[in-house]
Amino acid sequence: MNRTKLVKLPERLDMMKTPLWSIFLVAGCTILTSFGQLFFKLGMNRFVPSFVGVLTNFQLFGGLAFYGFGALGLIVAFKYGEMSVLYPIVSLSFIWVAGLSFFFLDEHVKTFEVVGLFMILFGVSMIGKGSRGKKIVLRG
Amino acid sequence: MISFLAVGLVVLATFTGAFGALFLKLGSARIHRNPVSFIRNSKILIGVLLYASSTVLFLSALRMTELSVLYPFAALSYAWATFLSVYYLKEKMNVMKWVGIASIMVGVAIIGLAG
Repeated sequence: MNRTKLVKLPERLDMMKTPLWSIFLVAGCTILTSFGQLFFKLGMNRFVPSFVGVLTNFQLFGGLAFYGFGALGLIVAFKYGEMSVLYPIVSLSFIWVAGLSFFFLDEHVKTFEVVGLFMILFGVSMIGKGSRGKKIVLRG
Repeated sequence: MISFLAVGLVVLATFTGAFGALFLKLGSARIHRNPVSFIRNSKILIGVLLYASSTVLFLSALRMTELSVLYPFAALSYAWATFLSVYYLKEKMNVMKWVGIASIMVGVAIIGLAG
């Protein structure tokens, strides 16, 4: 009896080298580095140019830690995924930074800017979709 | 005049940023659970240094010109990174990925022009 199986196969065998988890890992890392930027900004706002001033500026250290963990995750993701897929995903940080500066720094987000953010979101999803295969039907 | 210099610095920053990503990718092949594999890894080190210098270049350009002028050029880093991954890593592109890159670049430029 012929059975029809629906399997997801790459368009070409050398594609789909990027596992889905690595894409989500990079997306998570951009959240970390965006918080890192927020903490850097907060740290620079109360920056005192002295030895003690820098050592007691825990926002700066917090920002550095967020950046460090973000970079660590990015390197791990890079090991398993393609750069042409994962590097553009980093642009998601524009979206998080806009959100964080709106909520924590009371900055305005302009309408035109939102258009740009949506274009980034669209672009990231296109790359995500382009890194997957096509659905094809195998018979047998 | 001064803004030409700033634009030049940003373009240089996009080059170093994209090469930084390439070196991180090359270095990542040799990492494993041992944390020493992250630190004693010349390619990772070069990648981090390139990233850092890219940030320094961008920030020094920002001191000369506004963000709205620089962001459209900063978006070039996505193009370089794509070219590098095709040329050096032999990664395959397709229409969807190109559309995605183009859309991100336009999006970044729009954010800059809006600001």
